[in-house]
Amino acid sequence: MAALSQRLLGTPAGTLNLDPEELLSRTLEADGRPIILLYDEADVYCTSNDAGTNVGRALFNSLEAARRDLAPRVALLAAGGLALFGLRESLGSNFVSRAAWIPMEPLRRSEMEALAAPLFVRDPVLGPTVIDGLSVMSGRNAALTTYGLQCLWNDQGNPPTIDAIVDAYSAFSDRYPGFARDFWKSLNDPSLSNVPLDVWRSIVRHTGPVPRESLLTAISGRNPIAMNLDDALRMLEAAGLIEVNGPRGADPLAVSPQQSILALQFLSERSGSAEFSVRLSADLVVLLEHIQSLGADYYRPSTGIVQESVFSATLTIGLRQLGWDVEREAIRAAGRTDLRIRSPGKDDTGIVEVKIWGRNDYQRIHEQVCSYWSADVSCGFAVTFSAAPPDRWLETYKAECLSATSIDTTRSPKPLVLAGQLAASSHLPEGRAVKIEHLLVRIPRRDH
Amino acid sequence: MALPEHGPQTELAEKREEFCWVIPWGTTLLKSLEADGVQLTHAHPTAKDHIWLLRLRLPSEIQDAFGTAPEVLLLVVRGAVQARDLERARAELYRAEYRLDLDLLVVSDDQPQLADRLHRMPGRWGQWVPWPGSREAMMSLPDMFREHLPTFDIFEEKNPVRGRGVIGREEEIADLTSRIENAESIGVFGLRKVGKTSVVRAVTDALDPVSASMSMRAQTAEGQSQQAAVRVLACWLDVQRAYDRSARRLYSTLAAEIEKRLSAHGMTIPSPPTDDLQRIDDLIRLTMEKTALPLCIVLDEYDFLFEGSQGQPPIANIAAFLRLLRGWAQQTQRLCVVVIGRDPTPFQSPEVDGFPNPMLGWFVTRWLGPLAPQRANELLSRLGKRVGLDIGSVTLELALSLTGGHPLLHRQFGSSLLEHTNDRPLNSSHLNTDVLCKAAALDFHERGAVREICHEILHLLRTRFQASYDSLVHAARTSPIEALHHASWSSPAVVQLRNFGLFLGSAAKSASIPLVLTVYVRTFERRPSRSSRHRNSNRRGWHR
Repeated sequence: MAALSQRLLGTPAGTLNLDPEELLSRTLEADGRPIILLYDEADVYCTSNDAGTNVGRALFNSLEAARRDLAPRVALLAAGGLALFGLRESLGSNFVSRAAWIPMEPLRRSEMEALAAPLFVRDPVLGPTVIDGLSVMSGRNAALTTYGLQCLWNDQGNPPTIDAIVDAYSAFSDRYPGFARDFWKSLNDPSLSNVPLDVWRSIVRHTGPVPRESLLTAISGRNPIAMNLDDALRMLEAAGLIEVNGPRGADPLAVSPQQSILALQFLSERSGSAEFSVRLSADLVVLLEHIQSLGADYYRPSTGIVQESVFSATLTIGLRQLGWDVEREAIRAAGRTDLRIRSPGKDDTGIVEVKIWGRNDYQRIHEQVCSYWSADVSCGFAVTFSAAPPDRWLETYKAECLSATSIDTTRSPKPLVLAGQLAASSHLPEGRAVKIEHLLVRIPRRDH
Repeated sequence: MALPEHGPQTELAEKREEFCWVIPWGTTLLKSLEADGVQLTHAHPTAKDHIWLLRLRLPSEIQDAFGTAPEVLLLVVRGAVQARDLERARAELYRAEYRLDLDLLVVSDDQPQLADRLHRMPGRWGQWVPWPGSREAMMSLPDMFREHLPTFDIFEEKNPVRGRGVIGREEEIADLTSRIENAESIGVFGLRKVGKTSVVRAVTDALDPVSASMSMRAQTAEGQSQQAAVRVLACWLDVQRAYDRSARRLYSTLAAEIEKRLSAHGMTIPSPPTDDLQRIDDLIRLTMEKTALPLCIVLDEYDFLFEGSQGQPPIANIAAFLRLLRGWAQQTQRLCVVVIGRDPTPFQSPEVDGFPNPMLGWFVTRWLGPLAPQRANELLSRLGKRVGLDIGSVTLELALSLTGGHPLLHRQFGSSLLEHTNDRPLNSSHLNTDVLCKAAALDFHERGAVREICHEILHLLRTRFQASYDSLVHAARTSPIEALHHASWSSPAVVQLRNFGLFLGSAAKSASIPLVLTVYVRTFERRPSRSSRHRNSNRRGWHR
């Protein structure tokens, strides 16, 4: 405003103590045209400094008082991140109470395709799988989507593939460490008493509409703060972590979590077991449970469930974020296994094969894992996804996928969250006994 | 230049003739008005003769049908209307001492697509009705009203309203007017958006039309506003303008506002001393010496004098400021201070800044609650007419149960009703709302502004009036009767809720709370923890 004052009124640069309303009023008199004040990155000013002063609140309330007095010739717009929610205070914020809140919603698929249009021109065979991969990795967040497209565009020597997307988003945290940190910092602000994250976890734990009681229980008994369930939902929507699909007053609430690399970063606690296969199994199950609960992003009403490669890409990113070394489509003895996983600095190796129920050679999944089992492999996993599995899917799965060979089937003793989970043992051609863990994941169907 | 009063009819006839000469469709326009019984009372060109401002007196049937004021302003431009022309017209509206409808402007020019051009113009402040000019034939003005008035959501107003926009507060305005004229100092308290600023503005606008014009920037480069009968010199300050909460900024900003008002009254302002509090003292002295009028200082958002964000302490030396004002008030009986806010606690504290509280025994407290039922009905009905809605009795009853008469919430309900009529054909007759009010009520709960108000109310109670919060939430989750078993009708917690208009009714047995709050609490407010429930149950026997 000092610059505006100097430019329009000729006041000296040091005249910073001019009252905002006075400055705006004089500017209107001098120039006559309406004034629009745009504050970008306004959230920077909406947290308290060390002295406990919230500069943004006071400034915006003062500007709002000026705007009100000078309306309609002055307009005020503040753009910023989640910390803008910090504008409220116990006396109420004039600015907040009068402002129209316009959340920047995630991109629609059509918008993502429009953004990716230059890639399609350059590589006409670019398939929908790439867009699917971009969608689940970015959560259709504009910045993350642009990042992914930029990486694909810059990699001009190679056509855009799901592998390239995996590589791009695997490197994202290293390239932009501040992005995720700032993102979660806003949601983790001490003044919020973990309310947004606990509401989000409650949503993630449910498949389908969430009973309101669950959400209210998630925020019960906290210290008095400025955030209730309505606030938490708004904040999570603004963060792109959830999508509310119906009236906010509904019970149960039609709310679905949104998949992205940001959501993957907040998986629940990992197993502390020292044994490689136990640890990998636990982490894989955590990841699959996460995909299952956020899974509506993996379903398209027009084309059905996404390709296997999109799921294996998500598993790759998720396992890497959990600290594993993951190689995609690694060539093994009999061909390409989807994932080859190692613990950094260790020799133990696990392999994962991903199938879509009903597609391609899904019935041969067990044999395929056996065929990829080389000397360094100590555990194998067969993961099958479906958006429309048959009734009694586990029994059908055993009959179709595990009955053709001499396989011992024993149920996992763990409590079941996934659609199905069991361990099947068999012998390799050379006689070695192997046990493969079979995991079934049901993807919910939802219109976008 | 303001529209002069036309005494002799010959002067008006001359203006009519001049108008028809300059504006090619002028004759057709005037004939159309006459056909609808609309009377031309004034006509005057602006500094540019191709831009005219006409005052029209509407017949009672048009006033009743559309809820307008008796007179409306018509802006006629030969060529394409510009944004500055609309600004000029707005200034004219406020100069004319509120006889004109402040929220309505009819605009006529002869260029294509007038409606689209108006729609795209910045700074919209009310209902703009396009009336395309044509030499051959023009649509009737009532038809233009019918087509275009519903396209502007007149309910959606979050700023303080002025003039005829202040609906249903006649008793409060009369009471405050009398007190301020007698230089009584008053604290006006209530929830956000209940209309406190609008009511006090209505009072000071009536007592000091010059301050009204100044506040609405009604003077333009073309001339000065007319002097009207000033009974009080009114100065306003929104305390939030002192954004750094320094005494220096508070005093200097207030002093500047007092200076402006005194200058407008023709006083010569001496050179300011370096000390801003001294400056205020000098300005008050000047007022007392140079005029017999009372001086009224209005401090809006006064709560920020005593607390900033995150519990910051009062503005430094605020007690000295208040003592200064009180001293002048007591000595001269011609200075009054009106404070507007939400929390009267500072009034009751025995000390401020370590000194005896100067506000004790000085201010009269006035609570502004929701509108009385018949006033709330009047608000909805009158605004409904403006947008082509015939507000039915079922709708009125539903609205009252939802909002309790809170003005902004009532407006939001009206806006929700209007949204549900967006599919009706243009130029259709008034639509009875009883068939769609229930659907509108469902959407009402979903509106962002409604949730924001509910959030603010509960947050204010939760952080400043915990016992009141507990009572309200208990009432929302069970019933007001049940809640009043644990906190009596005359307990401080419930009295606070009654002052805010959140517990409605004249006695405990007929107590109610606005349904919107009941729904909001049940939907979004967290459950009390087991420990707090146990604590509360120990105190009051409440457990859920």
